[in-house]
Amino acid sequence: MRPRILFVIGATVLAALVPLAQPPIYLIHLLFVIAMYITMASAWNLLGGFTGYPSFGHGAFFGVGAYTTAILFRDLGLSPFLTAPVGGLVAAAFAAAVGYPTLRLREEYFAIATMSMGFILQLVARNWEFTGGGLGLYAQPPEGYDVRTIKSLLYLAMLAVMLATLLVALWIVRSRLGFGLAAIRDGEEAAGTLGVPTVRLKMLALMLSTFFPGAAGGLWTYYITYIDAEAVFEPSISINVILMSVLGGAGTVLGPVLGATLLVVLSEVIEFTITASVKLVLFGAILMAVALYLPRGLLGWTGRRAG
Amino acid sequence: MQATVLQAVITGILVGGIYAAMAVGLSIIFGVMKIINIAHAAIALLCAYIAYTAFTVLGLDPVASLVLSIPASLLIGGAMFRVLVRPVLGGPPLISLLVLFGFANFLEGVMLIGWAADPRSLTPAYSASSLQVGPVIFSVTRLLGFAASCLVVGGLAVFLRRSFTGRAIRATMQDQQAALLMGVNTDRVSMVAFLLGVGTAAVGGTLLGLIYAFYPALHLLWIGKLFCIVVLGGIGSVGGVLAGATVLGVAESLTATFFPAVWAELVAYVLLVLTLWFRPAGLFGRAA
Amino acid sequence: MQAYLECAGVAKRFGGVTALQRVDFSIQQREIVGLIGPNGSGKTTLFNVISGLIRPEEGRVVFKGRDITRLAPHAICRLGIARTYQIVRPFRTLTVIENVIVGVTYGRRHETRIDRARAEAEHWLEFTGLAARAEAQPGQLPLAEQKRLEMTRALATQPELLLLDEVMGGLNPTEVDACLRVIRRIRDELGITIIIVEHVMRAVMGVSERVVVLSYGERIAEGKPAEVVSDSRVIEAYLGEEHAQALRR
Repeated sequence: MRPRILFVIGATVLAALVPLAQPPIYLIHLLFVIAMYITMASAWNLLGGFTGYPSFGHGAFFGVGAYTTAILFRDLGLSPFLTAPVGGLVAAAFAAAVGYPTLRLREEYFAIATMSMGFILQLVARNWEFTGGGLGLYAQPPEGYDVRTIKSLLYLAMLAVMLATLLVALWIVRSRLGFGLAAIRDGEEAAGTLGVPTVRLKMLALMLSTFFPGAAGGLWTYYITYIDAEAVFEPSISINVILMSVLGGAGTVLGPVLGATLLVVLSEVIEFTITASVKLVLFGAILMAVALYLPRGLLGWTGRRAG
Repeated sequence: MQATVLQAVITGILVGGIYAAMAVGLSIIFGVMKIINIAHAAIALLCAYIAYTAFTVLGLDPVASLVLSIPASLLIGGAMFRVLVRPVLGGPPLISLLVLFGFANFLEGVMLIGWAADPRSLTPAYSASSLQVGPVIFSVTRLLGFAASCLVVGGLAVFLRRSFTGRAIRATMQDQQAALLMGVNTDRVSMVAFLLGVGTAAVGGTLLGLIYAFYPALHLLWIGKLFCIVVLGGIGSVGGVLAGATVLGVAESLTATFFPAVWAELVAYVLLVLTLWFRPAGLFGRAA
Repeated sequence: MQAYLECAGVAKRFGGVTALQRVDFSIQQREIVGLIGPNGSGKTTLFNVISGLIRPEEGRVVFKGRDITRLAPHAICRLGIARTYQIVRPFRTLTVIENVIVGVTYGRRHETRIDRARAEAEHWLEFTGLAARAEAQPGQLPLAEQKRLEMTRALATQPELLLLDEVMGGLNPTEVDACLRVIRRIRDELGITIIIVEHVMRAVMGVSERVVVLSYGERIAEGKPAEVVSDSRVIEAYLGEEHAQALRR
């Protein structure tokens, strides 16, 4: 247990020091994206890997967070450090509203219900003036700061969100909550008759699992300064997140970290050489291969509960 | 006003029929194998693209091109079953969901590469024409689609009821253990059910392509609708699927008439959530 | 005297099939009651109703004077009813002791500290004789031990009433005897009331003080084991009409 916490904190601190060395700004960008996906994959894992309820549309919560902060910026001009958590809260609230009827049922139904979610939200965002319609929304950085400083600050904020996610995951895995979630995953009916309040725990896992992607999306808005429905509700975000967790080892804490790092790097390499559609083919193939031949992922291979 | 409502309802019924053709396969696959074929809509969409190419390159009428797309879908379905589905049958549901979700995205990528992201549609000569009966205007494509769907769904229902394999399928849907004990080759039945499902998806996809513009990412939206229908109608019941599809079609159509058309896409999702909340067994089905 | 657990007029239908037809069933504290009947007679359905997994269409379930018919399973567990499952359902990615920890920490004991829960789980494993298997994966255990794990897990919730669903199916005679000893200890040492559903006749008849017989969702007989076994309606239910007639002649 303790080695993992040390590793996580240590690696985060090291990563936070990178901007001080004034590296090429591309490296900060890469690290930002890696931290973002680690956050999202780990968060997905809380519900998908720990509890056994795989969300097939988790990118939707990223998008909700992104739009929340964009709208807050447009109407109130607040800073990302204030609005990102709000983005997380809105995403979690949305998840609770949508999740409550679906979580009461079986895992397969939940998976399907979540699949269309992102698409629906994309439609709504694209067609509603409140969300900027087809024109999207802007979040301009304040005057007087150079791009590097701003991106570095946002990068540090993202590292903070990532660290929070991982610490929550590490805590859950050793706690009573973690036992309850594992019981739900491995035998929900039996868990209920052993006293596990299944609905309550599932909702808790759902909200934790959607808060962090929402916050990450909130930061993304400021980082990229312009968002629209296509970009932020892109379906591939959802498949990426699942693939990262499953490849690394769903149900473990470090699995999503490994999976996210590997796949972001792979993705960057591909994007320089091949196109986005090939990426979809490739990632789809990897997901199939992993699900068929390596279902426990790279780290989960021992089959033991992480803990 | 009444005429508008009537028009919307009629249109909804026609489109619902086509939805039914796509959804009935999904229902049978789930009923027999307890697997949700998340790739169902993607396969249907691929067949719409095949029809598109057959039309633009060979000048084949989309309905005629079913001669190409149905065998293609059966081939894909057969390969899918061997490589992807059979190995994960009876295992944890998550694994089959992941495998098929991976395949759906794989197909989407293939479609993106083959046809790009621009929306396409099937536009044979009659696609703009319509028939008028009283105050109601029937678009020919919707009528044709509806008729073809009735044939498919009806044929399937007859097959399930009359033929030996069909009855074996129904037996397996009700109780796999019992069917096994009675000598039903459940592996063969599963394969047949899967192929039937995929084949009907091909028909449904082509017909939908006649009515709506399509692009590769659309499968994500369609699968939501299909699932809504299957949940509404209850698993494994052809009649249930028909009813569910009609309800969805009419609801969407009415929504599109009185609100901006875009909101009609939300209807399936709202219906799905409502049904899961209040009547998870569906309007007609047994408790799943 | 008010019954400890009472099912009154419980009816359950699944689509066209009536699994339970207005069943009345009651037991007193510290009894061991056997619930038998041919396949499909509704025994497991009755357990599912009592433990809150399904709601009956009619009737009530009253436990210690409290109507539990509509309560969620976890609430019913908190009130003191635990159960095992006919087909074992261990938590496969957890070890044996971790399985029991779930019961300790979420059952009536509600132990929130995992280290204390672990100690308590060890105690339960010793009680049922599984202590040596604490760190094993359930999948590695032979069936008899997996069934024992089911019981241990349920015991860890500190129930007052334990529903045992075919805990002896698939066990050899030695294992059956060992299991019977544990069951008796559960009642004698822990004071837990037990309802046991079984097909292994010698087992259920040997350990029950009273037996209730279901057939096609109806209660058709009740009484001491010896009485029930010679009741012609019971014989008929199990063997069919002709055999019953043959036996009567």
